[in-house]
Amino acid sequence: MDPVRIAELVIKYARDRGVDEVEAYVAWSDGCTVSITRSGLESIVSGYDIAVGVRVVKGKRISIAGAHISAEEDVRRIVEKAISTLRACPVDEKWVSLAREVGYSQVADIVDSSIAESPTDVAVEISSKLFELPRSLDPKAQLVEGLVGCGHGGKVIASSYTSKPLEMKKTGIEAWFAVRVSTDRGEGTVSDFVAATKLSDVNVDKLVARNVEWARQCAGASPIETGSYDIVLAPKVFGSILNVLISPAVSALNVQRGRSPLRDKLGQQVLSDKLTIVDDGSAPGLVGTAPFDDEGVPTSRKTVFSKGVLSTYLYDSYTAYAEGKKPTGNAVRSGVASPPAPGVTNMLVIPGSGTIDDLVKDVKRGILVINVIGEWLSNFVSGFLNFTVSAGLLIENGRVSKPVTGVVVSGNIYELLKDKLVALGSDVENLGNVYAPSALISGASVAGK
Amino acid sequence: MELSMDLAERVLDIALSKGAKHAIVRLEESYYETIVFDNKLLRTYTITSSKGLGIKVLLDGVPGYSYTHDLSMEAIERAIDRALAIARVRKSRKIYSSVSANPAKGSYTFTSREDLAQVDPETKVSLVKEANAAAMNLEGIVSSVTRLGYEKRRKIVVSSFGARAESEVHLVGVSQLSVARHGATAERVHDSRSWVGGFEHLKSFDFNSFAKDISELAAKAARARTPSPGTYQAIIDTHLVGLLIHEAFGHASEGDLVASGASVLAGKIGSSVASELVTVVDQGVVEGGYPVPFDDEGNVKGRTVVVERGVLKSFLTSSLVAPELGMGVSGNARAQDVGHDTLVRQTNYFIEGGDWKLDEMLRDMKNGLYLVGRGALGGQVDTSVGTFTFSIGPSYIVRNGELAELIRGVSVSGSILETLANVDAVGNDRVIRTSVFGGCGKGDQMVRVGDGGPHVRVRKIVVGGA
Repeated sequence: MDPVRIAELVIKYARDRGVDEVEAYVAWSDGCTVSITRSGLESIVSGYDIAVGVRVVKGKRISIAGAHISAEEDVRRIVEKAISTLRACPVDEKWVSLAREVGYSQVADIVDSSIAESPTDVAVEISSKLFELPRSLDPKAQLVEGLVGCGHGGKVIASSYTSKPLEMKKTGIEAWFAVRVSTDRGEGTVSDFVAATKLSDVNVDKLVARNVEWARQCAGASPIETGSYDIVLAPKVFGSILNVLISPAVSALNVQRGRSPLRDKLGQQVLSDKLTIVDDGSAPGLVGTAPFDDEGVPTSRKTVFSKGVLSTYLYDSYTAYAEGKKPTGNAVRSGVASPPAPGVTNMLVIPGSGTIDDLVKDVKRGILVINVIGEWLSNFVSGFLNFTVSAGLLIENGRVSKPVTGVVVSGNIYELLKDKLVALGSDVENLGNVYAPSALISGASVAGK
Repeated sequence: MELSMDLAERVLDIALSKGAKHAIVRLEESYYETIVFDNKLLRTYTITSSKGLGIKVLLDGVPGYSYTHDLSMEAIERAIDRALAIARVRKSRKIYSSVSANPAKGSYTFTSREDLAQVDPETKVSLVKEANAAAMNLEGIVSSVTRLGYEKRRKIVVSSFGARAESEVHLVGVSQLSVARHGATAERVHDSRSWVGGFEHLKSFDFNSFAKDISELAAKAARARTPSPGTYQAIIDTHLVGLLIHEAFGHASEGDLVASGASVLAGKIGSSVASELVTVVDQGVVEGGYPVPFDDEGNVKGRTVVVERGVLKSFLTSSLVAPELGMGVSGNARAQDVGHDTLVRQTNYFIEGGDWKLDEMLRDMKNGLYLVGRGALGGQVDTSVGTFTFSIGPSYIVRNGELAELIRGVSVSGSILETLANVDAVGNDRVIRTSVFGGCGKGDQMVRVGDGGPHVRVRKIVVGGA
């Protein structure tokens, strides 16, 4: 079924029923997912998905319905379902309109034709490589688990304010894997993740080699004494922490609803002057790049923290209009039928200088944090960070010594990223759409033995 | 097209006639309704629905899986062809030498007495609206988010191994998130309740008090401090123990991880992995849990004793992984939806009750922590490293055998092979819970689970703090 036709049908049916405003959001994907174990490529899944979300508005009452499309007649049913709950929805006095600033921004490099043409071949190729490489680098190394996803997809948005449906297409590849090395000190396991829009941005050889080395160093890990330690965060660990604690805090929705610790902080020094963070949904070739956001508003580049000073929040149309502003192209939907909310597109942390090894050299007593679990359990409302180190290395007098696991690192993110942020590396890596370098933070609280 | 046993059988026949040695056909239909109020404003009233078909084929021990939401015969044939094409990919493929089965037959229903989808939308909206306001209208509360969720899920599984099974499960629930501010500090607390069934459960439930209680707890927590970091003795309440057993042991007992060497429990069958007070069970249908009478391969999910009095007895298995581990098939192959192939997953995973009463445990421990599940957000484990973590809700210091001051929710951590061995008391008050708002994540999939147990005391657990 043609996604543009589905969007056009939604608009037609809803107009016939006399709503004030209507929006159709159609998302489709065609791709392949491969799971790998130490015995080889295990499950391969390939399929095509298409789903639609419909928002209707009448007299400042808004409701949503959504579904996977099984047949064309489903479209009318979905529109009817959305209309059927309208009457029950209370009037939202803050409602102005659906997004009016719809259109495209210029974006480049988000389609890789080799992925679009044969996602299964590409996924199998990358998976085989992940399976074979560790052993070829070290006979005592092996891949333990892996998951590779590869494909193309797109979205179509039509509304009362689009003259014709907005359309975009994009390719993507994601791989997660864990490698293990056996040593006479025991086994060491680490995992890593890569995401890109193009195959040429994925360097599997380099990635596997680094993780085999880290797994070797992490063999036989144990907790260390409770205390205060400096921490060097690997780029993706730092990126994940920013994503959990900072992204929701700059969402205008959380600010307006009293949930953000950055409320009333515009123009203030809230992070270290070493930290400049940009949101850019139009940057060429990045994972979060698109010509328009999930409401059809063109994406754009904006500095969110300029040398630690908070310069803007991120807006979708609802939160922007509530303040008499224009949306910033940051509407994000978690599913086709979820209401849009402000979110990051690509979060870009401007790097410092030097490698992660340079950061380690400056540490007297600390931990090099390679893998964490539970960082997503941190609390953006209070700014309280906590994560458990699953793979890390103790640093003593500028050198890594023994491996560490099972310790909990905690602290207030606005202290850790302000006066306690010592330096950033130059080694930017991306965890999905968050691009960040490694970071050195002094005096974090560590719970261990 | 209507989803029926006939359609599933027809698809199975086509797959076999196209050359599949074996095939499993899954049909699934789901409905989800959600109403969310955020600071007294309706955030969303959404209804979503989905229908689809999944087809798994086996060719000489190699599986292939595909799916379609387009239910025309043409699209279904395309999905079968895709699955077969995948099973013919041989490069680096894992080959299964045998498959075992315990096929389910029959129809299982866990449905509502009063279907929430048929209840007047205005009645539902006003329930959520009132609870949201009740939680917002309290001193110090700056934000209140209140949800109602209702899910109906119908499944049909037919396989060449003999499965002919159908199920329908309805699940309803409410949740509340409250944010309190005290001076410059803020705290959030979240909790939810879910029941198998429909509107009948909401009619006898005091939604307003539930929401208000969370706000009161958030206001208290905003004034509390975090604990000092370190290792503590702790009693884990009946709500939090579900997270503990799910993260600290459940994932590591999943047979696919064991077979691939990604679990520290590999090779430990027959060994002592826990204190002898501990018996751990995975059971498909149990009071309070999410009913899974059969899995997504069509195998019966009964009761699996994983740990019996401290000794590791068995792993959770699928039909593919069971022969590899030399075990019977336990019916734990589950998928998020037809868009995903199955993984080995927990169903309702819990610790069996023991003899202790909570006040005896407290008196006997004297000093430590009482860790509470209300307000906990979830957990995670790295099964190959053996380290797990989960968050706790606002909890209590225990001093001289009594609950003393409240502390804020933080994260705790432990080791899979040590934590259950350190259990030195197990309560007699087992509770099992599920949730319509979440579940368990593995790979890129989320499935509904149940978990629980009685109060449990551990000699050592690492508690974060600042």
